[in-house]
Amino acid sequence: MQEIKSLENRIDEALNNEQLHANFRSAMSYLMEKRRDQFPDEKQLNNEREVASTIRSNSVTQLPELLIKLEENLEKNNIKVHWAETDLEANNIVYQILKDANAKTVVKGKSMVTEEIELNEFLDNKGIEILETDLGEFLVQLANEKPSHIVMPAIHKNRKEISKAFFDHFPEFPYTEDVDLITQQVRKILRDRFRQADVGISGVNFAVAETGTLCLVENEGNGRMCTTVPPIHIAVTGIEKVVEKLSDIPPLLDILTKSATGQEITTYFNMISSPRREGEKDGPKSMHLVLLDNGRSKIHQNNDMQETLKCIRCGSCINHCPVYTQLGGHAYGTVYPGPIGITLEPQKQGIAELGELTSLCTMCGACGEVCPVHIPLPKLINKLRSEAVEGNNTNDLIEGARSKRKPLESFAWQTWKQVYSNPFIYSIFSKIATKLNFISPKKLGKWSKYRTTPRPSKHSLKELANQAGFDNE
Amino acid sequence: MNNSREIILERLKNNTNETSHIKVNVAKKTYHWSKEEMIAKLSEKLQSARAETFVLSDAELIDWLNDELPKRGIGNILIGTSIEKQISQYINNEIEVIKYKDSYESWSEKLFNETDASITTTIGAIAESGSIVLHPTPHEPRLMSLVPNIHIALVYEDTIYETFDQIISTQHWSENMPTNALLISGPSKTADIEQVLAYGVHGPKELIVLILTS
Repeated sequence: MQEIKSLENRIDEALNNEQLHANFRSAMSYLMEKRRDQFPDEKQLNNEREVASTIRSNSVTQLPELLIKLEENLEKNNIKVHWAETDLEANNIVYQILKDANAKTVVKGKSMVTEEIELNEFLDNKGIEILETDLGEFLVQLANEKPSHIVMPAIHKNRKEISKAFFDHFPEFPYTEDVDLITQQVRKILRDRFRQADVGISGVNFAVAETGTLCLVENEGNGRMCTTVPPIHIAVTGIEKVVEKLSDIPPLLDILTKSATGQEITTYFNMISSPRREGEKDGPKSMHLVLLDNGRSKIHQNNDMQETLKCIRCGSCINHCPVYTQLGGHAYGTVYPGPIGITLEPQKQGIAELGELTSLCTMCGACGEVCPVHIPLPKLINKLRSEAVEGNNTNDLIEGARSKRKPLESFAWQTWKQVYSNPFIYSIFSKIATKLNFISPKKLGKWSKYRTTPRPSKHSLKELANQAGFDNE
Repeated sequence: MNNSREIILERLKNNTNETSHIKVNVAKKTYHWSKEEMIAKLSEKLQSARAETFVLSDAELIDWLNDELPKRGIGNILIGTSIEKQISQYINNEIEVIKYKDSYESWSEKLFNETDASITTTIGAIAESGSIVLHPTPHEPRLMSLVPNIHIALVYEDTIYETFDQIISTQHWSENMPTNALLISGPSKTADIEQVLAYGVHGPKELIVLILTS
């Protein structure tokens, strides 16, 4: 396991790692460009976002009704539904299913929710072998690391690093840095594992309440393997992934794949509505869905923050975030990085715990502009920042409100407010600042660590404007 | 466990926000493509995802298979029971026809390790995105389009739809969802290593779509 370092140390480390920088810079530029190519018409894009946003808003506002309907239809289709309030409960549910089936080996398709509950570690400790099968996740698991991006998990590694991790584990294969060859070697290794696994675990991209259908989006085919080959399939999803109707799916799928990887559509769109039926010759004999809350119902109660739950996990906000591009995913120290991460994680784990993450934002607004379901991420991040220092700590909707308030900082801002709202005091202040600019400090602590230290000008803007002939008012 | 269900639902219901259900007003996309345009669009999109496409008449299918399969080094081919009769008796003797007669468990090793290619039908295709659409059945099980190295899919020209939405609504999917419905839009691929596209990760390395005209 990686040592837990403070956010500040993680940031320092990321900023000083040139290789990491280069890997992320190139990957983010590639993803941004591919997305842009998919949306040549701004007006049409906005219409599509409006539709997707409305569908997701409806899902979130009707969440309890839709979940009940989903459960009813899944059970009708012979898919057993389990509800988990916490990560531990979800892990225990999965473990119990495995234990009842005497299962020893699991193959898993890419799923952020199972990262969230740390299912791999949990099952590992119970002596169950759980293998990631998405190529990127497989390579990350080999290196004993965590994904650094929610769509492209191995984005932080270049092919040299990947080749090394691969051949440390599989010395029987000749060393290569050829992507096609590595891919074929992984294919060879995993084919037997799919065939021999006792259980397949997957996430869910959309769950359709109307028909009791679980939808999975992927390119590789490992998701289909995990959900078709082993005798038992367990799907794990956050409760917010439900949508009302089957007709909601085409617009959401369309905007998801275009926003995520700039693909018009992925290779596979896999819609599963039941385990193997009588007479059918393949498919799992039993299926389970674990519905995970883990803080989501709490977010749902807060009308301001509820929009967080509309997210379809495309990663577009991450790809366009200048802070993420500089830092990469691991510096965040959370499962979900980037704008959606710093919005979601402090709400789930409390501001006292993770409120500092909201400072990983320049308020540039790019995330809000690209979000396919119109989540006002900059507004939500700002709200969390304000809750952290000014929130009402008796209101427990966002845990840890006001916990980041520092007396000196709040005194400084109070003073600033006084100075800037009173013209007389302000004019004295600006005179002192411009005339005595030579005594301003050369270093400003952390601020000047990576930047040049700002220094007040010799003349205030007002003076310069007067000199240039502008009238006072 | 039921307890968690109640706790979660109770908390969700507690939100007194009166936002009402907003009707989604989606202007259904239509392109008014002719049959020829649909075939052209479907082929173009599939090819851009590195699938191969051929437009053949029904009568040309067998000749195509007899010509192309040996050329591509395909020694055996898995055929579903629905079209097996139509094809197997005419197919070149050198090509072994494998049938998916029994449940997967009884022959999984052969399916995974010794099956070169498969042929399946489709219930249609989507021109806009370049997707073939499958509802696997006992005659053509799910793994046929996933496990063999090469997947050959037959699409009848009059089952090509413009959009995903059209095929869902025209075929009334929501009234009777199959165990598994699939959109397939190319061979298996990945860009997980340095964003370099590589094909044939876990699913078929090649997808060949034969568009059949009557």
